[in-house]
Formats: sequence, structure tokens, C-alpha cells
Amino acid sequence: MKWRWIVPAFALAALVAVPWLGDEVLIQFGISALLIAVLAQSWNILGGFTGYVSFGNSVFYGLGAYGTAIAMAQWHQSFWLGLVLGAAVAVALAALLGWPILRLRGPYFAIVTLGLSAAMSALIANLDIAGKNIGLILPLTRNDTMFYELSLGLLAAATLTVAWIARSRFGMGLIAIREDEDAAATIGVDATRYKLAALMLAAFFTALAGGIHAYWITFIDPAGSFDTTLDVRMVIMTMFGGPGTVFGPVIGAFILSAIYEILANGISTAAALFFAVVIMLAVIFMPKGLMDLGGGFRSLGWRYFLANMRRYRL
Amino acid sequence: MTEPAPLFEAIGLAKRFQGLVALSAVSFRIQRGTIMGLIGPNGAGKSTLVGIIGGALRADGGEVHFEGARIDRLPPYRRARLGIGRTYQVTRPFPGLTALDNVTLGALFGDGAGMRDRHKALEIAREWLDFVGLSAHSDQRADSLGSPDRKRLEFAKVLAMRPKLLLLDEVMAGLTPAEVDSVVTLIQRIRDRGVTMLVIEHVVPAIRRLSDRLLVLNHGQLIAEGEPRTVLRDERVIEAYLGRRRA
Amino acid sequence: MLLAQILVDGVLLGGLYGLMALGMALVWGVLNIVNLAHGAFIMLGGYLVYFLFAAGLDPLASLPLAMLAMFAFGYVIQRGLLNLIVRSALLNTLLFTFGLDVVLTFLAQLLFSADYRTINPSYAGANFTVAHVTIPVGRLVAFAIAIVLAMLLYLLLRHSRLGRAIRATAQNLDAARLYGVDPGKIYAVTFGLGAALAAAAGGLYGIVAQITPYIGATLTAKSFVIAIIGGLENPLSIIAAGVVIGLAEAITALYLGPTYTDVIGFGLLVLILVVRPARSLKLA
Repeated sequence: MKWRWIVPAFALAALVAVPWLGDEVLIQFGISALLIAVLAQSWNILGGFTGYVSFGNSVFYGLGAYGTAIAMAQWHQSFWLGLVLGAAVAVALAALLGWPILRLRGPYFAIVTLGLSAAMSALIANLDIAGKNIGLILPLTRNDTMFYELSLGLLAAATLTVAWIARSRFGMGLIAIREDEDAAATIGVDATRYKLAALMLAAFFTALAGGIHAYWITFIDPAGSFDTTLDVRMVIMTMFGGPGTVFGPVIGAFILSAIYEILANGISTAAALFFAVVIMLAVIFMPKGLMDLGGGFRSLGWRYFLANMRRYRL
Repeated sequence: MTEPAPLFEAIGLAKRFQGLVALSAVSFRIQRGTIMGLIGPNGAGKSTLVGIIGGALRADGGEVHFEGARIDRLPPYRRARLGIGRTYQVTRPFPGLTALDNVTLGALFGDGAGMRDRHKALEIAREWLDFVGLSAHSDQRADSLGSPDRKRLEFAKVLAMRPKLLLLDEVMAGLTPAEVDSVVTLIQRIRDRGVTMLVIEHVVPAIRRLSDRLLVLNHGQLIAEGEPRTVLRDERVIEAYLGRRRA
Repeated sequence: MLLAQILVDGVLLGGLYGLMALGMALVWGVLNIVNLAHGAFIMLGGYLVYFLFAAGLDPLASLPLAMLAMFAFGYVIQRGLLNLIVRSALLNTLLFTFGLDVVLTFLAQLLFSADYRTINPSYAGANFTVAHVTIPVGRLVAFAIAIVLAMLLYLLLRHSRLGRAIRATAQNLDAARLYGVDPGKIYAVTFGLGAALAAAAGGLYGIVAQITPYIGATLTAKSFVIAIIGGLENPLSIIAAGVVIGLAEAITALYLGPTYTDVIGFGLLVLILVVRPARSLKLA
């Protein structure tokens, strides 16, 4: 059982070593990729395990960014305090909002989350302390290596949390909710509390990623922090990698980020197009993501793709 | 001679669905360790009653007592933890999970916060899968199981919860006579383990064999209660099922 | 009388919003697909009417043509593409139609450039005044057409054979099959109808506002909100829901400022869904 962790351990070691092995561009790409992987992994907790698809997690990302920025730029506090503040605000919002909106099922939950980020953005744009529409500037610290290792550490923490969830009673409860929420209640799962916990966990890690990102790029504004393209990306990456798995979101995030980076350097607008086509093909031929593809391919070969296509057509 | 305090008591339950009266003035008690049968023609309100006892539905009037305490206001998961388990008429396994995982979930959550150890829960799950005869299928996905196996899975899952009161909602529907027999045996073995049951059924011979007492529901009202033999000969009961006797 | 003016503006625009949502609600109710590319269909319809207008055709005349063209487009897309994922989980259909939206937007940008386009027939600029309230003719026409189309859809669904087949398929696919309904055809026709309605909305939108390749996203979001509030069953209640949103936006712009107009629709939606969960659960 322990040998399953050898490959990830090696990967982790390799990742840690990147700043000394790669150049500036790679490190910067690394930071972005690591942070989006954190977002994907956080989304995975609520979306992959619990089955509640959110298109609004970027609201927590933005809150994390603003919490950190306000603490550092307005109140002149340390980065760590800023992170704590950002995370606290995000988790508090999750608790507050989660209560009413988690009562909604399926498409209704997803749709309600769509507006969250835009709404928060509009609100923040009216606050003086947040710098209104102009935004805030954080103190400059030029240390990409630090940001890199910090992001990697956050991703490791998020992934370890998901690994724990996957093996715990809590996690099994989340999965039961995903499979059949009413039947889960019938056997004794406190769905309300579990869903709320999942949302708050997701908010926590997402906010921390937002805070790190804010300090790294030293400038934030409402449009950039409450970025709905992040929502789309974290969902796609998790779905591509494998929702409800431990490493799926991470692998999905790395692969898709890399592809996007390569394409964007070449033909940038077509990069978005390429992605769109990839998503559409993935939904038809590998709807359960890469992790399932691995096992499915081993047992069915190319027929795996055909079987998937047949399964969901009219 | 006074009866010991019942495990379960319903008092004056009433339920309406937009003008249609589903239940009215339904009162009965279930003694610990007994099997209470419940029969009635289609649309009599049996599933509504199960829904109210399990907590999925809220009664419009009346009270529900379990182990002496009122439980009307409790949500389904709390009732599950108190010891009320139910099966569904159309089985509801967790589709994407294996049979073993399904039953493990029952073991993990049915007993409240007490069961934290996943390994212990797995053991219990395997025991119950064995009890219902599904050991060979424990690693199969629940949605790939055939109908009789799904019913067994439903049994194993709810038994893993260690319920004190088990609500069985038409578990024999759609089974061949041989399968009905094996389910009857299963239910008797469960009763021998001390589980109290409310069994809702259409298959009258089976219910006659199983029940200690029998309730008959028609148009939302209890029209008879008592020993199976007596109840089944009651004129009102026969009329409810077959219509008026030709004079 | 600023308030009256605002209210009238809101109602007129709201009618058009309702028309936009009509197509999305129809597809959602029958195929159980939430089409995130719906706004792109509106956008494409708008471009069609624009180019026909540039070629000399009055928008009111080209509306039927654009609708026909988009009906065919929708039919083919459903039959050839969407059919493949019709039974997928909701998230997957959302992702898929999202991808489709990106593709269509990209193509539009490539073919039509990002320039702003407006459709200005001579009557669009005119307006008349009733009781101190100015009513722009263009908006009034858009509102009127929206109502007419909604009524036509209502009549189609209620009283025609096709409409009955569509409703049967929406309610119970297997039962409908038993009655001889060809689900593939019904799905494709329904989706085509949704696209046609979107096209009409797009053409009208081009008269009252501007068309760019990027208008799709906000219009999809708005249609969502309206479809849920109005319910997926009755075209007329969707128009009503559109009017509600139009009014809400107008009032919000007046009292809270324009930055909040995008948000008010969602705010309303959240409020309704949370306060009356029974209604939303019905469709889940």
C-alpha cells in the first residue's frame, strides 16, 4: 500500500527542485500552474467528491487576494497575517452563503454560483478600503523561488487533505451525498453539515492561493481577482484529470496549463479554440477524466472511447 | 395486564397532498421485537406512512414516537441514527459504488458518530453481505446488479446500520415465489436477531406467515388491526380488496 | 416622471429578454440540456439580420429568414453533435456547450471582426410620447414581436401535433417512443426551434443595442436566470419573467447605479431559489 506513494514522492521532489533546475520563465509558469492546480484540487472537494458543481469558487480566490492586499497595503501587516485574513473572510462567506445555496440541487446550485463572483466584484468595486475600481498595490518582493515553493507547499497541503478525505468517513459521506443525497440521509449522513464543511474547505485553500498570487503579482483589481475564467479552468482541469480522485485535478491542471502555455506562445487566440475543442472531445470520449482513462484503456483499449461515446448518446 | 412501552407509536397521523387526503387518524403501536405487517390496496397511503415514519415527509397532523420520545421534528438522518432504517420500494443503491462500499456506508453512518473506524465498518459490511448471500458480488458496482441482488444489497445496507426499527417497503414486489420464500426466511432471521419491523406488502400469504400483528390501510385510514388470521377474515378488509360481496 | 419612463423602458426591454430566454427554456425543458452556447446563437442571428440589412432587407422581413437559417443550423448541430452527449451528466453538457460557445465566438470574431454593429432601419430612431413617457419605436417593435413569437410558440406547443409530440417527449421519453414519436427528430426540431427563437432575439437585439462576437456570454446568463424564474413550461410566463428582470435592471440602474445591473438578475434568482426551494426542486 505504501508503494503507491513512491511515484508522487519522486514527482514532489522533482517539483521542489525546479527553481534550481529551470530558468525564470519556467519558474513563473510553475507558480501559475501550481496555483491553478490548488484551485482545481479545492474544487474537487466540493465538485468531485460531493457532486456539487460550483462555477463561483473564484469568489473565494478574490477574497483571499483582497484580504491579503488590504492587510498588507492598507494596514501594513505581514504577508502571513494577510493570508490568514483572506482565508478567514473566505471561509466565513462560505459558511454564510453555503447555508442557503447548498439547499439547491444540481443545475440550480451551479447556476446560482455563476453570479457569485460577479456580484462580489461589483461590491468590492464600491469599497474604498479595497481601492474601488482602481485596485490595490502590494509591497514588492522579488523572490520567485519563494513564491514557487510556497505555492508547491500549498498544493501539497491541498492534495494531502484530499487524500485524507478519500480515505475518511467524512469523504465516504461526501461520496454518498454525490451518489444519492436522499438515500445518504436515510442511512444517517448529515448532508447539510458535510456539504458546508466541503465548501468551507474548498474556500480555505482557494483563498490561500488567491493571497499568494496577489502578493506575487503585487497588484490586484476587482476584474482580475474575481476572474470567471478561473472558474471555467478549474472545472475543466478537474474534469479532464478525473473528478473525485486524489491526483486527477493536479495532473489535469499541469497538462492543460502546459498545453495552453505552449499554444498561447504560438497562436494565442487559437489556444482558446483548441481548448474548446479538447473539452468537447473529452466530454464525448473520456467524460470521467484521465484517471479513469488510465484504467479503462488498460482493460478495453481503444474501445474505451467508443464505449463512452455510445453510453451517453440518445 | 399492561403492555410494556412500545418501541414505536403513531398517534393520529394525517397527511394531505394538495387536497387529496393521503392519511387520516392513523394510530398504532409496534412492540419491541415484533413484526407488524401493513397491507392495503394500491393508493391506500402505505408509502406515505413509511415516508412520515422515516422522516422524508412531514405529517400535517399527529405525532410520531420512538422509544418514548417524539421524533416528528427530526430530519431523516437523525432518525437513522436513532435506529430507524428503511428500504425503498424501488431500490436506491449508491449506483457508482461497489456493493461493499454501499454496505460499509450503512455501517459507518447508521450508528451515529460512534463508528469512526473504517476497517471495523468494512468488517461489519462483509458480515452483512454474507448474511444476505451477496459475498460473491461485493466488488461489483451496485448499478450493475440485477434486481433481486439489489434488494439483497438494500437489506445488507440497512442492516449494517444496526437499526432498532426496520421499515420494509414492498421488498417482495416483483419476485418469483421461490425468491419470496427466501426473503421471508431472511426476514425471520432478522427478527431472530431482535430487530423490530414494519413490513409493507402486497403478497398476502407471505405477510400472514411473518406478521405478529397486521394493520390494514384503505384510503388513508386504518380499517383493521389485530392478529393476521382474524384481520384477513374481516369483512371490511375483504371488501377493500375485492369490492362488495355478492349477497 | 422619470420613474414611469424607467419602468416603461424596463418593460419593453424585458419583453426582448423574455424572447431570448424562450429558446433556452424550450431546449432545457425538452432535451434537459442547459445550452451555454445559446447566447452565441443569439449573436449569430443578430449578425445574419445585420448582413441582410446591409444588403438592403428590412429587419422585419429578414427576421423570418434568419430564423429559418438558424433553425437549420440548430437542427444540424443537435443531430450531429449534441446528440452524442444528450444523456451525459449535467456538468458534462455544460462543459460541452461551453466549448461550443467558445468555438462559435471564435469563428464569429474571425469572420465578422470585433467591430460594433447596429441595425438601424429608419423607424428605429423614431419615438413618440404618451403621458410624458417617451417610447422608442424600435424597442416597441421588438417588444411586440417578442410577444407575438411567444404566443406562436404557446399555440404550437398546445395545439399542434408537433407541439404535443414535443411535450410528450419532454415529459416521458420512453412513453413517447411507445406512441410512435421519433425522439431524434423531436430533439433536433426542438433544438432548431430554440435556435430560431434565439435568432429572432438576436435580430431585434441588433436594433435596440449593438452586436459584437462577445455579447453571447451575458445574454446566456440572462436567459438562464429568466428561464429559471419563468419556469420551463409556459412561454408566456417566461416573457413575464423577462419583464420582471427588465424592470429590476431598470430600477437598479436608477437607484443603485449601473454597476449593479448585471448583478441584480442573479440577486433576484438567488432570492427566489432560496426562498421558494420547493419550486426549484420540482425541476431538479
